[in-house]
Amino acid sequence: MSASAAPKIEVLRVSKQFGDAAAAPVLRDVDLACAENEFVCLLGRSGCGKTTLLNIIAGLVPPTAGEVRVDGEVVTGPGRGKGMVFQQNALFPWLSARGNVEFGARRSGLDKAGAGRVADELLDLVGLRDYGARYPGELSGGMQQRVAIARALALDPQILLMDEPFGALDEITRLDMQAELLRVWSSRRKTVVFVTHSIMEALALGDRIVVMGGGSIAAIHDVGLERPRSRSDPALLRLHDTIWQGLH
Amino acid sequence: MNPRAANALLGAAGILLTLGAWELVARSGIVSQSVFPAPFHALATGLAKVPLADLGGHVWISLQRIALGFAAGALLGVGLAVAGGWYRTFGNLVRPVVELLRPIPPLAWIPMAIVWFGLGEPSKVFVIFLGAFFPVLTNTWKGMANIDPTLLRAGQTMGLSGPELLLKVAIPATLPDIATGLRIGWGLAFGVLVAAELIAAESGLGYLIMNARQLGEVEVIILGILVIGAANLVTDNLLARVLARWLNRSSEGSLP
Ligand SMILES: Nc1ncnc2c1ncn2[C@@H]1O[C@H](COP(=O)(O)OP(=O)(O)OP(=O)(O)O)[C@@H](O)[C@H]1O
Ligand SMILES: [Mg+2]
Repeated sequence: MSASAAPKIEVLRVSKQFGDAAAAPVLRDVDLACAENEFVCLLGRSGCGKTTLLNIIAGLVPPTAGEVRVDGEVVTGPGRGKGMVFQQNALFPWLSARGNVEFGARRSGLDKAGAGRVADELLDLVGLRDYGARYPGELSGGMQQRVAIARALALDPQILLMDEPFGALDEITRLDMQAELLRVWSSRRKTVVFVTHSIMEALALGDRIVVMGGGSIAAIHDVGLERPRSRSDPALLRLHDTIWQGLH
Repeated sequence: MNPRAANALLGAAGILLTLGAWELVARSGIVSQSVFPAPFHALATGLAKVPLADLGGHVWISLQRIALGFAAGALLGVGLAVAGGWYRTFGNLVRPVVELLRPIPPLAWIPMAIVWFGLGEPSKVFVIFLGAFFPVLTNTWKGMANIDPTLLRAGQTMGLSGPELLLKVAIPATLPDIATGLRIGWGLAFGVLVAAELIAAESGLGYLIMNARQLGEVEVIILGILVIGAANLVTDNLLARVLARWLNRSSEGSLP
């Protein structure tokens, strides 16, 4: 990314309060800019407001104050330009894996034949070519998340918002999925905002790591390491310690 | 053998065992056969008194009434519940009326139905309609209220909103509950019909039983009762199959 280019996503002094004005704000004056094709990780403890911020960027939840801009335009609602991968169980259980991906492709404006082709292509990309006919209930958690990623990609959004997409997975599957996501991301560049509460996951994936705490941004770290990253790289481990200490 | 066939076989065995035990008790002479006739004897005698063609006619007319009332109840029940579950203001407007009318047993409406519609077909169909309507309505409503919000959000992030979101996400998500409501509604329609026919009819299975009582034909009563049970069993099974196919595999095993 070039620092001079206009940001793809701008979060401008966003605050969020649920309920009445007496309630403690969940987000306070959050400012954040993501460059085009940047991979940004949102990191923080449970309950610090990561999902809320992501939902506001997605346009699913309105901010109490401030605004979000995408390509300079204020976000007023959800839309096809911003694909979302939820923490879990967001696949349509009445559609097969292929049907789910096709659904996304149809929404991007493709006709039935085109959507079918895209669905096959994407199922292939996430390694589920042979599972297209299965229903979500017949797939493992990891497979479901891969289908969900394929469905979000089928929309061909410029922005991909991911809310702890691998949070429910076992460590081994999780590492595989991280590698897979990076492969997908490098083949079809997108601006990614990826929520996680795993420091290691953020270090493996992100161009930048945005650490949240107490409803605002506590720190932003540039990772600046080549991918694929080794988990034993001393530079990465140093950054891990810095982030860890910053959280206390 | 696959588990489904095994279950069907087990079910058939259960029915045969019950009939066998009944037959044994009845033949042992503990109770008089004129009060408690043996089932196979009753079926044979009953069929001699009511020829198969007549019996078929009663079944047919009963099924027609049930189908009509059920169809009306299902359509209106699903329609009202989907609208009430989706459009909150409308839902809040309608809900109290529904809650007020729901606990009234459909049979309590029979006198009113006769006043409104006379003794003919419409009054019976109306009572069946009531029997089917409420379970379909409440189950569908419950389903609409319990849609996983993540599914709706997923739909929204794919650019869906308004009626399109309702049609493509909310209703498909509610189908398992609609199917449950339809099954329960069908069963109630059946029960309500026979009761309605007991009171005011010249044909149908309820009439057959009531008429036999007046003639003192215990065997025909038993024949009628068994046919009602069998007709419900068969049609409910058919409905379950149709619904299962219609639901795809998304809700396998969720039907009662
Ligand atoms: N709809 C809501 N109504 C009221 N409070 C809410 C709502 N959504 C979130 N909150 C509150 O906002 C805070 C932040 O929630 P959020 O889901 O954004 O956290 P998170 O960082 O995503 O946590 P986790 O890592 O556990 O997913 C929590 O204290 C939560 O109770
Ligand atoms: Mg969260």
